Amino acid sequence: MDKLSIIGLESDKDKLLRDLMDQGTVELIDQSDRLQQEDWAAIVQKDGEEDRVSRVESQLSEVQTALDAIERYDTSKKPLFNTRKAVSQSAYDTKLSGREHIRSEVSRILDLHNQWNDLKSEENGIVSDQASLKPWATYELPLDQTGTRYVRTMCGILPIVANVQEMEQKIEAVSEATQVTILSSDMEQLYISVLCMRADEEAIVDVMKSYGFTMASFKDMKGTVKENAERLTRRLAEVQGEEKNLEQKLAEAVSSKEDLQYYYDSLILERDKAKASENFLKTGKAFQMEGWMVADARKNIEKVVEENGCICEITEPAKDEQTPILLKNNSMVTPFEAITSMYALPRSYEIDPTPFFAFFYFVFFGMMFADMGYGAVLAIACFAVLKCFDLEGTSYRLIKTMAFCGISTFLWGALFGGFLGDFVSVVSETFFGHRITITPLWFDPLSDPMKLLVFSCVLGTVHLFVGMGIKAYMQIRDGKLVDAIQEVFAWYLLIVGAALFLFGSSLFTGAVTIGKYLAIAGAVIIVGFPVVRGKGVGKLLGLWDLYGATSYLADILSYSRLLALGLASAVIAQVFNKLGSLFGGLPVVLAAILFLLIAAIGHVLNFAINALGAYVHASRLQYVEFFGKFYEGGGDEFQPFAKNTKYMKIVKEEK
Amino acid sequence: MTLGLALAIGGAAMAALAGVGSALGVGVAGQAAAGVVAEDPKKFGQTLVLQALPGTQGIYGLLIAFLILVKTGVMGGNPVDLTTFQGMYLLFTGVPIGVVGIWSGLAQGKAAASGIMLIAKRPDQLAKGIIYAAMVETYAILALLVSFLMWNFCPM
Repeated sequence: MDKLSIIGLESDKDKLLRDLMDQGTVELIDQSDRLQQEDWAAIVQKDGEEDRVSRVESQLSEVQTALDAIERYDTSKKPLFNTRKAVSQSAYDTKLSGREHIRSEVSRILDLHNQWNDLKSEENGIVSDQASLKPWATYELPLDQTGTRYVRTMCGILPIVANVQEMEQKIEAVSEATQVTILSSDMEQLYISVLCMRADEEAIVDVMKSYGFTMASFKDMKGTVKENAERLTRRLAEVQGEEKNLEQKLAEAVSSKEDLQYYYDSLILERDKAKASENFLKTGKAFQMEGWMVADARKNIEKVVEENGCICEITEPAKDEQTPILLKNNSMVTPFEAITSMYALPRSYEIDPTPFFAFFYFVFFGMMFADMGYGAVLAIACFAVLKCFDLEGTSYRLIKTMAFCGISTFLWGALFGGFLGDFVSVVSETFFGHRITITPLWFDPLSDPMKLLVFSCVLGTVHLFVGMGIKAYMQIRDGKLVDAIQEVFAWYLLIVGAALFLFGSSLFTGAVTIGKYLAIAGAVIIVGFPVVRGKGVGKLLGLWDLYGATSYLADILSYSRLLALGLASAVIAQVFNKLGSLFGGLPVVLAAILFLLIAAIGHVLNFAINALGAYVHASRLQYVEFFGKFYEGGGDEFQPFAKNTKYMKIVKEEK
Repeated sequence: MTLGLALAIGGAAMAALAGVGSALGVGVAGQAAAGVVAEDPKKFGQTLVLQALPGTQGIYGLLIAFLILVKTGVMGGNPVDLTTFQGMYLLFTGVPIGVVGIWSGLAQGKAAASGIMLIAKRPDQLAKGIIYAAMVETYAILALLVSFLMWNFCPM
């Protein structure tokens, strides 16, 4: 990363921004901090086009709503992965020359969508009105009529627990000429109508209120219940018809979805360009900007700046300055960057760990999944996805990592003699009466698990040593040779020595003695160095460090999962094969069908759970055991000012 | 059938108990997942991955149970007449994965549920949620390894 600063005339800014966006190799740095300094504040002010940004953003959200509105009616098949469609610059420009047309299409769709929303809420209103009228179906007087000159009519609700007979008796005591009719009832309420003399109204209502009576309200409905119900049904049909009509129109508008997507992307570019200048400073006629630039892009950027009549200065970052991080590796290692970036990107003074662990990840995943059948399926499926979809970014890297891991799984499967567990043996024995076993290229872990356990731990130790080696390298680079000896090389001696001392007797004669002295030498350095270098209590820190041996032991034993998970995928596969073969006694065709059915379901299940397990635990071994030895992480991702479109990928034309 | 064989079957049953832990764990994670999906149905795939993680204990239990059944010949249909000592041995073989499976499954389920809460707020942090849940799994794997090694060195 190099630091780039550019000064130019305001009139050249737009063109320069467009060219920088084309290049996509510069991350802009916000310059507003400079305004804190008086000498800067005296001549410049913050640049920015907030009005334009907010205007474009509101347009963006409109287009998004329109896209969402037609999305529901898009019946075309959804692809498995969302990818950006590659278009050439000229095709993109032609499409957008009809910008006005697209804009009117957007407002047409929004209009339809709003109408549809209104109708939908009207429909809801009608449905709830219908429901509220239902209990009154047998009431025959107009709802807006409250009585005649002398007679009062009322409709109301009583709780279901009210004692109606008792209430009628009490009413009779107050006024004889009153009639209470129960129209209907449901789980909670009684719906009643009351006819009485106007003169007695108040007294009767008082009585009824003591039984929990409440007056029903019919909003402003006119006419009888029956008339209203008919009106509502008619209106509902109308509304639904109109909705259908609008839905039809929206479904037709799906054909302009692509146009809208083009328009959306063009708005994103416009917004980003307008937003970019918020990072700038300006005087009346000139502007100043700064940014991080990929070092390789120097020539192109200089050319672009010159073409636009601006002046640039490119400097290397100061020694302890944090720069944004862009990982760069060869094509075999690049996919594994996905694993690194899930943890954290390195800080600018750290080493990118990806090339160091990529091989281990490859090996570990394969060991934990170890099966030719599963490996072939995984590799073929991932390569097919890569072939069929134009994936970008993390999803591309992850799928490619899995494709590599599929190959590794296949290779380990061959070494351990696994093909869908013991599929071949079971099929040959059950259906052909003659057992064929695949001879493993190396050995069968089920018959000699100890060998694989030792191998796993040795492999793990190598993995840890590589991690510690990187730490030593960084310490030596920073001139801390003694630290490196005390914290890394002494541990090499101690661990190798201890291993030889404990298990060396079977390797070669004298290994135990050599191991003993190596371990003692290591321990002496670990305990002794702080005594010489430390001050006060610090002199005894070495003893505490030596206690860290337990954590090395735990780290190394953690690699036993390579054996355990490898066994799990192999044995579970065997379980399903065995289950399938239990029907071997039935007629051959039936037995074969049952076998294939059970095996298919079982192997799909086993594949899914163990592929997930291998991915997770291969990552864990990097994150916890390997990174724990040297890696800090926490760098910021390089986010260049580029064409971050959503739907279309604009590619340069071949000239 | 001897007492030894019956005890060995007990070992297989013991190992299968690891499924209890998985069931509890997957259940807890599923409850959390349903809550998150209620807010955002698009997170179904991500939450499903996390919910599946505590399921492995049950599988490890099945693995050891299967191995014991194979060793005793019950799986092949020719039960071996085990001595009482051998039967006891195989019974104990099932204990590590059975017991550790129950608690690690539940604990992993809780970690997975928290991971699901994590992706409700930060969908880009799925990998970290997975790793947290996988840290718990280590102990189930170690128990599986212990059970497996015991099985491997069974004197038959």
